[in-house]
This record gives sequence, C-alpha cells and structure tokens, in this order.
Amino acid sequence: MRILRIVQARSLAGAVLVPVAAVVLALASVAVLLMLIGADPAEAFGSMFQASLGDPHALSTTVTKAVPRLVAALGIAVAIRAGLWNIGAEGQIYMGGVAATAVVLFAPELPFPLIPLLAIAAAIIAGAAWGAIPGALRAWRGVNEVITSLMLVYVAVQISRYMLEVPWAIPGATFPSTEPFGSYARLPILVPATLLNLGAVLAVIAAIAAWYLVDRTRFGLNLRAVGGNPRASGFLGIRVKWMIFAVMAISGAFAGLAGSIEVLGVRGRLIEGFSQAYGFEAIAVALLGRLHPAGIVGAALLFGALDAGGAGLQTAARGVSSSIVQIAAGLSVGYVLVGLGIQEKFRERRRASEALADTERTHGVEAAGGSSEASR
Amino acid sequence: MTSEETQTARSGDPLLAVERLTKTYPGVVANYEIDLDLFAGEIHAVLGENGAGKTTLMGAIYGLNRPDSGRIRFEGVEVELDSPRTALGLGIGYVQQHFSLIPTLTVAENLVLSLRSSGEKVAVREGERRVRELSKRYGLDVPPDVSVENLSVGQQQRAEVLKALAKDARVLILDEPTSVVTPQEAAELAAVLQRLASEGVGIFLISHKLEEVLRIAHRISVLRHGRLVGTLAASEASQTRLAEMMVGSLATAADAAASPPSAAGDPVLVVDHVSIPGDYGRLGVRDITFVARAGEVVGVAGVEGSGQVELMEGLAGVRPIASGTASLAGELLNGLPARERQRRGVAHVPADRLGTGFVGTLSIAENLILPLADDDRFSRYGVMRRQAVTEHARSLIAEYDIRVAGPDVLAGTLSGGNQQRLVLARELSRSPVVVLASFATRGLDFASTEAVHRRILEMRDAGACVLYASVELDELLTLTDRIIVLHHGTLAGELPTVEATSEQLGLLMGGSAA
Repeated sequence: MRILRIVQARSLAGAVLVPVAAVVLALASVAVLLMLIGADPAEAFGSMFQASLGDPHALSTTVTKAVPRLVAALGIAVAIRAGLWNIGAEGQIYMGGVAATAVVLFAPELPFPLIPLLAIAAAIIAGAAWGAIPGALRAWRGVNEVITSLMLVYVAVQISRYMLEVPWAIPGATFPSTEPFGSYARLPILVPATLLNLGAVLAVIAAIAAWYLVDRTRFGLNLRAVGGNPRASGFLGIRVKWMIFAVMAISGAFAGLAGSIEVLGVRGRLIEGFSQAYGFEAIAVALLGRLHPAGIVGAALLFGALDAGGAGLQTAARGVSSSIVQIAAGLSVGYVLVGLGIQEKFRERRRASEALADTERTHGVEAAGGSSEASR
Repeated sequence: MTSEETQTARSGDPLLAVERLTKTYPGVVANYEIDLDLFAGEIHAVLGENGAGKTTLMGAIYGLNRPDSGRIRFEGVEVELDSPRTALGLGIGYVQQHFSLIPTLTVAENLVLSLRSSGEKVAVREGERRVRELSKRYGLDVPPDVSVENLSVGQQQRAEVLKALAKDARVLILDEPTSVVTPQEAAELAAVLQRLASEGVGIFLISHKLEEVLRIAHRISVLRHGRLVGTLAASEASQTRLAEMMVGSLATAADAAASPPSAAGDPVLVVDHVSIPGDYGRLGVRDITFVARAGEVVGVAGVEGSGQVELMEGLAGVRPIASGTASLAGELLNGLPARERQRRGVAHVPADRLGTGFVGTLSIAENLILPLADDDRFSRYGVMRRQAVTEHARSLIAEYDIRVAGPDVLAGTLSGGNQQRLVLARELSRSPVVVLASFATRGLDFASTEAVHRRILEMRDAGACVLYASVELDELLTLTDRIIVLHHGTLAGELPTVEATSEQLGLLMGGSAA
C-alpha cells in the first residue's frame, strides 16, 4: 500500500520535520490570504494565538477541542496501519454518544465513577459494533469498507436524531437535546471555569494504548503484517479476514470512546450535532500525525488550537471569518502529503542510483552466473 | 539459427532486427547479446519460462526500457526507441497482459482517446466507423458501441489488437495473449493473428505454451536465463525439443551422482486422488496420487502452469483441497488452516517470493517470527518479547548468511537473494517434517542458488520430506531423489532420478507419454 509506505513515519526526526514545515507553510499561506482580503495578518494571528494558547483558559479550550479528534484519529490510524480505511469515525462517535446517554438515562444514580465507567464501556462497545459492520462486510463479502463505513455515518446521525426527537424528546424544547446529566454521571472538570475534563486524561491513555497495541503486541504484529502484505500474511498463517474484522471493530471502539468523552465530559448531555465533524477531521489528524500516536497528539492539538483560535478571530478581527482557520488546517494536511510525496521521490531516486551502482559492481559476476528475473 | 527455410511469405530483409542486445537490471542480466529478427507476414514466437527475459526484450522493442548495448533496426535503419510513442510512430504496437482500456468507455471511445494521444483527433462517430471497418477486415468481432467492461476478456483483447491496428501497426507484439482467455477465445485469436500475418503484419508472440506456439507460429525463438538458446522453424520444432531448450538439457545422470540418493524412510506425505482449484475457475491439479517419504527430495517437474504451484499451495493450506485426501504422518491435512499445518511441521517456500514470501514493510526480525508469533518464546500474554525476537533474528542472520546491516532493517529493502535466504531461514529453522519449495532458486544468482540447494539437501539429510517444484531440469536432476512430472494438472509420470534423462522428462512435461 503506497500511501502507508509514504505516510507512515520511520524516524522521530522525520515524523516531526515534515509536519512542522507544513504547518509553518500553511500559516504563511493564510497570512498571504489575509493580506489579499485586506486584513492585518499580525492582528489576526495575534487574536488567534490569544484565544488558543494565550492563557490557561485558552489552552484548556485548545486541549478540550483536541480530545475528540485525537481519540478518533488514533482509531483511524490503527486501521490504516492494517491497510483499512475507516472513513466512518463520525458515525461511530455518534453511536458512542447515544450508547453512553442510554446508560446514563436508564441506570440508577450510582456513586461516581460507576456511571461514567459503564457509559464509556457501552460507548466503546457501540463504536466497535459500528466499525465491525464494515469490517465484516469487507472481510467476508469483499465490500469496500470506505463506502460502507461512510454510509453508516448517516445512519448513526439519524439514529441519534431519532432518539432525541422521539424516546428522549423533552416536550416543548426548542433544540433536540436531553436534560443535562447529573454530576454523578459526568466526567469531572479538571480546570475550573473551563470545559477541560477527565476525558483529556483518557485520551492520553488511549494514545499510549494505541501505540502499545500496534507496536508491542502480537495482535499488532499481525495487524502490521496484514497492512504490509495481506497475501503473504495469509500464506504465513495469519487469519487475515478475522484481523480485518477485529481491526475495524477496534478502530470504531476508539471513535466510540471519543463520542462518550464529548457527551459525558464536554456537553454533559446528548445534543443534536454534538460532534462537529470531528470524525472526519480525525482522518486529516491521523495523516498529519503520520499514523503515529505521538504525531497524532501533536496534530490534534494543532487542530484544537486552530478551532479555538478561529473562535477568537471571529470576535477580535473585524471582517475575518473563522473559516480561515479551516483553510489553515486543510493546507497543513495538503502540504504534509505533498512534502512526503517529494521525500518519497527522492528516496526512490536514491534507491535507483544505488541499485545502478550495484549492477555495475556485480555485472561481470552475474553475467557468468547467468540468472534472470527481470522480465517482470 | 535455421530461419531461411520457413514457408512464410517473406521479402528479403527483415522488417525488424535486434542485434546483440543486452539489458541489465540491479543484480540480474535480463537480456544478454540477443539477436532476433522479424519478417513481414511472420508470426515469430518468443518462448521461455517466467524470468527468461521475454518481456524485457519486447519492452526494448516497444521503447519501454532502453538496452545497455546493442541495436534495433527497423526496415534496415537503426532506430532509437526511447519511448512507446516513438515505437508507435514507427508502427510497432504492443498488447500487454494487462489491458490498457478504460472499462467505462466504449471500444470506439477508447480508440478515439488512444488516437488522440498519438496526435490524431477524430470524432467518436468516426472512431465507431473505424472499429467496424477493422473489425470486419480482420475478423475481430468487436462491437464499437459497447462499454469495455461489458465485453468478454477475449473481446477486450481483440479491442487492444484493434487499437494497435488503427495506428497502422506493422509490428505487433502480444504478451502471453492466451493466458487470460478461454480456449475458444484463444483459437479465435489465433485465427485473427494468422489473418494479420497474411496481410503482411509481423507478429512477436510471447508465450510459454509449447502446443500453442507450435500451432500458430512460423518461427520459434527460445530464451533462457536472458540468452537466446536458438531460433527454429516451426516445422523443425517439436514439443520435446522446445521443452529441452526452455529448461536446459545440460545435466546428465552423471550429475545426479553429486547428490547421492538418500535412504528414504517411512511415508510422510500421502496424497490420494487430490484435486485443487486453480485460478480463473479451472482445476489446477486433477486427481493426483503420490507418496513422499522421510529423507527424500521429490522433484515436482512441469512446464509453467502445469499445476506445480497449486499442488504446493493446496498442501500448505493456502488453497482448498477440492477432493481427495492429503495426510501428513497419518493425519488428515484437509481443512486444516495454514497455521495449524505449520505447527504440525509443514514449511512452505512459496513460488511468488515478493508477493507471498514475506512482508516487506516489516523488519527482518519480525518477518522471521511471523509464523511463530504465538510461540511462548516470542510472545507472552499476547505481548511480543522483543529481546527474544531480536536474538532469534541475529542468530538466523548469521546462520543463513543474510547479508544485512541488522535485524531491524525492513525486509523489503533486501536484494532477491537475501530475501530468499530470509524465507528459507524462517521456514527451515522450524525443523519441519515436510518442506514444500516452489521455484526456490528463480531469479537468484549463482551463490544464492547454491545456498538454496545446500539447505534443501541438509533438510533431507536431517530426515525431512522435501517436495521441490522446479521448471529447471538441471536442478531437478541434480537435487532430487525421485521426480514426479505434472502436465495440465495431472500426474504425467513418476521415476527415480537416477533413471531419468532430460529427454524423457522433456517428453513427459510436454505431455507425451514416455
């Protein structure tokens, strides 16, 4: 899989260099864009910085906004490492949110942390189930997981909407949402007067777990083998179909966790549109983070900062839309892919010239030995 | 080179001539000092096993790769074929194994696109007219207004031929044209090619199928290990002779003495009336019965596509056994997954090393323990024991002479010989009961080939039962104790190696009864 070979980081320096350069370039491009529309880039960037990194409150906002993207991106990266594209994290987030809410609404009031634990467990299972469906279809029916996982997003969004508008509807409410959960059911806030909650800690644990799973366990070894060469994996006795199913379920589990953190930690209730395309942005975060959990943490923080900064921009700099930050986010990912593509080209060229030198060295010997496989 | 007395219509000078052409790739000489020519109105078959250098040679003629040395003359004039565009401009067309048609467009639309890429702009309606005209003239039977994806593979192939003809091709190269189509479609194609030849088109037909080449071609050139073994008029050629030329007849029974027959022990692998599916929905192996014993190397001979690979894969558990039974040391193998067979002592060196032999994106150390990942030595409670994995790799790298900087190097960066050493190290270090090796020396240099042979004999002497599939007679005659010959998926013969001659094997491989 070419994209895997290109995107996957091989060294820490390589993992950091290209994304950082890409982000700098993206911000520079946005500065040019701001000048073109007659705004002052310094002022705009200043207000963005203030709103995202300027003080502890801003920083908390950035982290809070990074969390759902981070957790979902971890799952997406795990799938890509196995050669699978889980495009449906958004739907898995919604299923996680709905499952967590169901636990809170139906379980009795229990001492903390029982309800959040149960709710998170339910969300993980729901997300896993929502990822397992495309996984099973891919493994045993050969259906492309990109299509099915994406389609299931819309099913999940409608299920969430149905729950809010029919069984859990509040009569006379103007916006579809449940009642706020009691504090016994919520993830505690870490920094007072912000939304930063225990979910951030869970996200860090999830990042470590994802790294450990892929890079340290037997399951991870088989997963990477399937991602690298599914046919050879089958020849080596790995149950490739089962791996496809399991990896998609695990990928969905991460997104389900992201959904429960958003509902139990940030919103404190289920509300229509609670995930603002976090699951889709997570794909970009996974690629920008070069599929490595550490890189993904960095990329998610960048996206969180841009999100927080965009809100600040809207209020501070007149005439500048917050959508400018989405341009910055998109350009970052675009530049990373371009940069990595160029890097790969150089690598190929170096390999080719090394191979040529090698041929010249061994030419005489080989001509005498006389064997050939090159007509492929 | 007996080319003069063929019965083709031929006017003096060749249409195309290759002179002393040499082409090397990293580590291999794909073509070495090859002389080959083609006359107008001639079907010239280029025969050889996989890796013999056929496609490289044709690629040079079509401008896909540039030779290191040598000349190509077109109508007596030396030409520099630096790209397919140049070749097309001269009237050289190439129908590759994988078609270059856009499935969602009609045949006529594909033709229009293809003409546009060579600078000629025509409307779709005009394209349809030309498709009809060419189709009628050469009996191609290709509908102009049907999407390519709705055509049969044979029709798609003929659409490719038509595309080349529309560019006034005078030389047409076809790469293994019959390997992808049904026998009926192959017969139709043969008729088309004969018609084209009668209109003066020169045709290079790449193939490894003896029967087909003898039926269609006027002249036959055989390549082996990148060299031209010889060119024969079809009238002088026979299946036996061609098979010998393809696989080499250098070895004699005397060479077999180099590997003294071992004392074969008890039956280990019993294959009883086994059939195994092949690709394209046909049976790859049909109703084969044989026994292989401990401490012997059983050669599995056959020309490419005779069922050797399917047999090995069926026994290794990566292809189902459709009927019959295979048993290992008295226990049934049918239905057991590949991993369970590995546990019971089956080692498999697969035919397609790059595609199925190892995982290029994993390190050497990881590759070496992939089949053993659930062994307590290498993982505990599902967590890999990295120290043990690395140490295991270090010792195997030394023992199997894998030339590499260290165990963490990605397997995909190794050269062919080192990749095969990696596969051997992984498979043979598990002390297998049965070793299934397919084309284990294909594409390897001399030293690596020797290393493979040595390892195989070591396994035999240690009491393993080895099935060794090869298309090289030399190798089979020197390495094995007994040879079974496959032809079209059935068992064509079985004989002790000391009694075998290359002529006899050639006959059996070609499908003639011994």
